[in-house]
Amino acid sequence: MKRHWTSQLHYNLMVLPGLVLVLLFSVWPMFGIILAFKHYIPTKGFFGSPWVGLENYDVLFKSPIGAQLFVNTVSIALMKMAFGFVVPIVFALLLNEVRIRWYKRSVQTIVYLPHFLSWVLIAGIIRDMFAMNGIFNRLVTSLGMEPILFLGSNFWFRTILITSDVWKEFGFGAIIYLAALTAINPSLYEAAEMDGATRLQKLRYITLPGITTTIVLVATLSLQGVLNANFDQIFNLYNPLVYDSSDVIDTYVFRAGLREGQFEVATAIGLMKSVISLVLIVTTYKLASKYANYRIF
Amino acid sequence: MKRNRLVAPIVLSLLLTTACSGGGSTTDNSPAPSSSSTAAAKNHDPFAPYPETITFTTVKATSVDPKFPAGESYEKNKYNDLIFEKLNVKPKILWAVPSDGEAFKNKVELSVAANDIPDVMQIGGDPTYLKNMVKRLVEADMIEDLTDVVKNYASPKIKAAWEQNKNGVHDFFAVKGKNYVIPNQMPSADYPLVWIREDWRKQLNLPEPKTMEDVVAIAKAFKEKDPAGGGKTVPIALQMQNEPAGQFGGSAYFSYFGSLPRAFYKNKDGKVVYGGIEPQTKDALAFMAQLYKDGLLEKDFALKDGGKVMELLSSGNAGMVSHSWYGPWYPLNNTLNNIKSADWTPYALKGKNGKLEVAAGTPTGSIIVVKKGFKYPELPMKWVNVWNEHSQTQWAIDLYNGLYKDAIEKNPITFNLGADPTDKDLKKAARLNDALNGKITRDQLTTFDEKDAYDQISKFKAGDKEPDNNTKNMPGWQNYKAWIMAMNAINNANPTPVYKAYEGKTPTMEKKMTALENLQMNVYLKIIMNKEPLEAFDKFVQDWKSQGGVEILAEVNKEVSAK
Repeated sequence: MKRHWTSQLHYNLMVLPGLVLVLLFSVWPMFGIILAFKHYIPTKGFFGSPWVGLENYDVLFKSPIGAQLFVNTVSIALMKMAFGFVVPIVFALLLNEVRIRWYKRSVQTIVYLPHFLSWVLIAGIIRDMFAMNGIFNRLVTSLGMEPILFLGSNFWFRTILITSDVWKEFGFGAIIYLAALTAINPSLYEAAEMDGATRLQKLRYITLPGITTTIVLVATLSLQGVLNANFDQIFNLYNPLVYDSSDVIDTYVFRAGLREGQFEVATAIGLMKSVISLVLIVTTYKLASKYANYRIF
Repeated sequence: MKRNRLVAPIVLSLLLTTACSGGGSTTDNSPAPSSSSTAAAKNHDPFAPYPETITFTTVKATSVDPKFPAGESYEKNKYNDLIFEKLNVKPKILWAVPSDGEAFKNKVELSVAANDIPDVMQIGGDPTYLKNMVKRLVEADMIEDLTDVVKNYASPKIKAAWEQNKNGVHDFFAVKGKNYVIPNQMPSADYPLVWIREDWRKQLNLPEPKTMEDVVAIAKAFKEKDPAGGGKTVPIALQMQNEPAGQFGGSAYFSYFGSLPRAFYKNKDGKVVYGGIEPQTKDALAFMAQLYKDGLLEKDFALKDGGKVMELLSSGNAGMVSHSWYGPWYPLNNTLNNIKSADWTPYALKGKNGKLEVAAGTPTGSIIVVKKGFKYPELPMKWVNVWNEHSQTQWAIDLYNGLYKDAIEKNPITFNLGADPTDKDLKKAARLNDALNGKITRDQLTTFDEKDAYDQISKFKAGDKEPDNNTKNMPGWQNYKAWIMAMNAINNANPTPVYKAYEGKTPTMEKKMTALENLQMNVYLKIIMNKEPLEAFDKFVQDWKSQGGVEILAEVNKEVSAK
């Protein structure tokens, strides 16, 4: 055992800085979680502040709009997950069929660029495009219809949220599938060609089964995000007219909790979301290992 | 990994800061002031300098681009030099962040949460925010009790200003009868005026408005004749994104119906009610819904924040706006910068009941607090004394118009806290009026800023016949429109103040008010934009009450009657 340790000393030394960082920034702050059940008084510190039980959850659960917040959060997140799951696969498959190499490469680069833009920037562009005199409303009026208040309508607002989210992320999401596609053995396609398979049949019997593992993996792992409807995006776009459809847990906690300096409320909601996410991660990990044979540990 | 993105960094920074400051906090809390305060008790001179130079820590909300004259800074400048000369004290600024937006509030919030506040701190904000902050600081035992300091050290001038308002500001901030702050006191003259593009009105040969019907008629004419050209005219600019009667908001229209949509006030029977659910608010909404229907408001006004409406006003496409008396300085002067012939005139309109009712809150917007254990709790009080003796003298005007002529930040003094009688602005306007009408001479004007305004207006009036006089003599135009026209309009309308009965936060308000205010804006906007019928207001009142409003009103009434 001792020899084992010394022979691997250089590895352990290399791991040390990382370990210290994890302890300092991930493990030690975990004690802050007790704040979720306390009334934080700065002079008394984390440990001296009085316990208040579950009172910090009242802001969310005893709020008249608590139920609606949950529905909004989950439905927006689920819709984003569903579209954000299908679109990259379809796109990757389509792009894979393109024969011209430079065209394929440039399309791939262009579509994943939006991933690197911040939501503050994109929100500004969306506001302009969907304004009363924006490009979309000019289209609408040129067709002889009344201009639509896109960002003030509960139907259109959600649609815009989901489409813009998919638009921003699908290129980046497609990369993993494109990578998986290159891993398929070309001899399979050659054999299929000899047997006279059409392009569609090749897609059905070779390409899809080839990336099934990846698809299942991505799908299951994305489930944990069910309570994250994307604060950055909604916060930069919403307004009181669309609170009905688009006020989510994060935005509400920001307004009702953080603005008022109630850090304990933000901690409490964060903890709740972490717990739910943890349960989902464990479940999906089990599912992934069962159906896609995916294991980390 | 999946922790809330908001929480993780905050919890982390809290931990680090408490960890770092944890060692120091115990020594800070040891009671030091007893010896010094007894020694000083014999001498309560509000202007006495300290025998040795005292350096204390503080923080500062700053301008993003101050453009200081050479050698000046927020820490060391001619204003602070004066205080140093008179009192022998020097501030050390621990951190400074821009005063725009939420940055300063957030930083203060973190300092408080980390139990790491400076020796002396000035915080600005609306009365509700400030009161809540004081409550928290007192609960956490972080600030000094200043009851004796204020009683013993306030200068006669400042005491007189506070007493003119019956010490209302101190009572407002008091916690269990004790006073923990040095508050500012502002002249309360925030009356809702309707500012109208005078050049357009004259161009279209429309009479001056006397009633709200006249105003609507003018707006309709603006819509029809399109004086901005190209269909760009917006007859009425309105900002109502998150509050009903905020900046460029609906104050004038609500107050015409006697509605105060975000105020708790006493009704005829002495009971505290919430203006947002009172029936006259429904009338105001019906009125605004008609404005929207007639195309007098922007179709998407609900999506625009203050900045966007300011752009609209600056562009010169807006015909009228509900705004305060200081409009000519912000942002109506921008219209003149863009359009040389532009002109704005304020009108104060009496309400349906023949009165101009205004919500009158606690006239304060800033407080100074002293960290618990700071040895010289009377220091900021002395600072405020000295500053208020000098802030309106020739010395200040010379500095302002001389060395600081080209600076954006004209007054970087560390604590700029005034204590003015609440009727200061109306009195100033009256004196200026008298001086311009020849009833009193220029020399009889009491302060230098009055004389400055008098000179500017005289210059403006002298150039009356010249083209584009408004733009050429902008300072004169600003002083004239605000001090003479707006104040006269207010005086003639003889405003009736409706005092806010409650500006704090009850326990239920802490939990539910955000949701209720969201509900309020949501329903108001839908009614105005004709998305829901006016009857939706009745359902809103029911919802408001059942979702916590009943408890809130009960709590407020209990607290108010206990006073």
